[in-house]
Amino acid sequence: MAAITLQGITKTFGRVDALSALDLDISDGEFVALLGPSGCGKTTTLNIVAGLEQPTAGRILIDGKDVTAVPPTDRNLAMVFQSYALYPHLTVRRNIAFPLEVRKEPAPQIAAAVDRTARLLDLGACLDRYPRALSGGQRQRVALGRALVRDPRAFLLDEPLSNLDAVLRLQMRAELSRLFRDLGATALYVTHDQAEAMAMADRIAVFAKGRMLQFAAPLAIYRAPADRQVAAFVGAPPMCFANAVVTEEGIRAGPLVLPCRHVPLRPGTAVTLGLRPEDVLPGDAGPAMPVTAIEHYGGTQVLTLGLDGLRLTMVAPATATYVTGDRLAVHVEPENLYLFHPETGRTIIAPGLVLSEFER
Amino acid sequence: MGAVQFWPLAQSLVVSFHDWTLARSPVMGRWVGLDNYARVLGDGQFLGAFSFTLSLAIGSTVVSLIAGFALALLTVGEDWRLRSVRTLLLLPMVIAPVAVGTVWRMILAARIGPLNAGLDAVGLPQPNWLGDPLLAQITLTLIDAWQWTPFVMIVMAAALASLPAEVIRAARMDGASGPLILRRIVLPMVLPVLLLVAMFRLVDALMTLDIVFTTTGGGPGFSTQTLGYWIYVQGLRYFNISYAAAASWVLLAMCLATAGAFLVWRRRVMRWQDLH
Amino acid sequence: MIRALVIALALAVSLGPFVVLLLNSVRPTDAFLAPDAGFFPAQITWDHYRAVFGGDGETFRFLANSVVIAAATTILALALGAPAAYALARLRLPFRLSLIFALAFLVVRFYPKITVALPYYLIMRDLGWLDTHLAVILAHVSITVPFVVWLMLGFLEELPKEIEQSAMMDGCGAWGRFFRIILPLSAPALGAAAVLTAFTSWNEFLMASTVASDVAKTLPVRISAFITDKGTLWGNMAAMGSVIVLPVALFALLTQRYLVRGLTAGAVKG
Repeated sequence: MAAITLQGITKTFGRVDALSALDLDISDGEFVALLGPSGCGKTTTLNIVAGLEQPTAGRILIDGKDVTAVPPTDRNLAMVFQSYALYPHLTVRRNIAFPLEVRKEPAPQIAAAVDRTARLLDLGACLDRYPRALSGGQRQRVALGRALVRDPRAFLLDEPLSNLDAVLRLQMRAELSRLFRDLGATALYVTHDQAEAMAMADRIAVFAKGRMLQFAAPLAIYRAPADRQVAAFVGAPPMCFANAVVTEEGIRAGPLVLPCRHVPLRPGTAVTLGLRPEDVLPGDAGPAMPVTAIEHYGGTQVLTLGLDGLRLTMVAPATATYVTGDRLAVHVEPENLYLFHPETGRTIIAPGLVLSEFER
Repeated sequence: MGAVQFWPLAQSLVVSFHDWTLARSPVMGRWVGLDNYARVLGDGQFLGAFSFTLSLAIGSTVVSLIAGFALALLTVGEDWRLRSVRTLLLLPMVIAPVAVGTVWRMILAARIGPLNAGLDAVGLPQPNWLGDPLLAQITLTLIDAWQWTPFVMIVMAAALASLPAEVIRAARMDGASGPLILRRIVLPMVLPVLLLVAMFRLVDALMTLDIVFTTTGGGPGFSTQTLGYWIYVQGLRYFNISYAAAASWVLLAMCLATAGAFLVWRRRVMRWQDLH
Repeated sequence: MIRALVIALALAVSLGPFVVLLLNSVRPTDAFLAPDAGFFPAQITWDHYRAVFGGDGETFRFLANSVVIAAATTILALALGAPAAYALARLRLPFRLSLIFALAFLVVRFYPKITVALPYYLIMRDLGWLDTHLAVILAHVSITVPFVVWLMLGFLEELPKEIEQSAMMDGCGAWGRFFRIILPLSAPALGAAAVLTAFTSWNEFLMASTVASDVAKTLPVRISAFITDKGTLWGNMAAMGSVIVLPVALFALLTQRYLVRGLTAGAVKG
């Protein structure tokens, strides 16, 4: 397995910067997720690492060696495409064997490798079928098999699970995770599904509009997001935001005043308040906010509360019986407040941030 | 990728070989500048061939467009019977134009041809299809249309098959009747293809030669000479090579101009329909 | 219904001539001129076919020529055209260059072959290649290669890029991809191109008649000579015509799927 480094990667299409000055350092054996909404540049990044696209500026290093000019055929990276890109005219067996056949490895070795991979991915029964006769999940595994059968320096995966139905997706997510961990493989995994990234990755690189916003471990991203965009993107149900003002007693947003731990700002400063729905709890003090909507998710329910222009979302157990119109007071533990700069969006306060980091 | 560059080079070499042989002035003899062109354009036979070629091209194209499109509409569908009909209707197109000319010459023979025999049996007049100058022109136009209508048919059939079914269903839900759907929805949608087909047909018709060769040999008199035929005769029978070459460049210009005009028209239609 | 009637009429008009041709080819000579000659010949004679095939055995030679030339043209056109199309599809040519190629194709497709026939004759004469198979094949190949390229290009552009990208990641070089992936996947398009090329070559008259006067004469040229020589030998003409028409018709019926695909490709997609 190899370490991959991106230095100053920029990719411009015409006048648009798909990527601007990206620096990314991936260690050997690390599973890194590239997360972001569509069009943010994550797939472009993957293609540049693969060699399928050339950066307008910058370098790619694999294990310290500059491979920017090396064509994809020689980089020895394995890629799993979103559409699987199986060879329709070859059987599953020949599909998986393809990378080895291209390298002209001896036939018995190829056969052994293919069988090994097929067993690993439970594809034994499909080996002599053609891609068109396979289900989505099976095709996905064949694509994986084709990547696994040889010994690549790293794996590149472009939203491999996004074409599967929900149940299968969760199943494959667990399998993939286990697989890559067992292999100790370096992997770059592109996804727009934040839950997927959070569950699988050692570190997540969050992208938006061609820039990387944050590169950190999942929990760090969750509890100490670099800015408002990251905070909004990660977490389900998503964080709710409100315009707020710093006061002596705490943060005031609309009719609500929430005590906060040490805020390095003067009273009267405007901030954006962020609250994660799971941190909003029923309380006994403060204004009673009416419930305006309830969504049931089986095991939990999500309530929307609104009062005087302030909207909050709150997660409650399914057993609690609420009705729209009910009035609730809320309570939030002081550590769970997120504060962002109202213009730049940069994080001022977050649960995961160590206080001493901020001397602003 | 470097090695792969060889092939387009080799290919364009073959093509350029073809192009390179376009000689304008006589191989032997002196340079006469535009003299040949002037003579050509003033030649009565040339002008006759020119006008006939135009009318044949336009006539044949119009007929084959209408007939072909109509047949495509009539035989649309995946039913095996419809598909076999389409296949059978395909045949006129695949035989050599020379053979087409021969066959029709047989059929249209004034005295013994089956067509006239049939007409005689029903008591209808039996015109001299290939012997009367004007009639021969019309006949040749129709023969050309006969041969190439299948081409229009299959292209339009493919175009019709590729129309999104929902649009037509939506129109029907809106209460539109068959002919209305045809006129307002189907026709505009297949217009780009129709124009493309018309272009192919028109330009190919301008070059017609084979049929003339085997039906009338340009006669009676010179009435059914097309430009292609006339050039052939000038060049390879009378060996007026430079003369023929000049005339053929005129024909080339006509063809290219027609093709260009259609392509521009088509592009405009497509842009207007936001299909491009 | 009216629809059925019209279709029947169309079929009659389309296929009638073929029927007439066949019938006439077995109709005894005197029956042609008899005023009461019916639609179907009263007797059948094979004389005409015998005359056409027997005699000097020439017809077989021309048949063979046509076959050889058509086959050679098809193979060459595909061998040159397919890789060329692949190169064009995959190379990132500057816009201007691809425009030039497009124009070149257009010109070759649309200029009257007569314009080239004369100079070609002269060149072949100077090279001493007149009346050789090579001359005809060369001419046919240059006519058909652009079409093959155009057809394959349209098809290749529709192939999902990812399959090739996947092969690249698997370590497959350009030629490897061409032979292992592209060719197998473009089989239908190749089939269409092959069929159309074969037809074009078989039916081609102008170039063949220009450069081949005897040795390399093909069937279409033969039938035209027939007309001017023996104008009123209808029976023989019909037999000859049948020889040209029947194999082609049969072939067309068998390969119609490829034929249709080849003709409509690009036309519909624009």
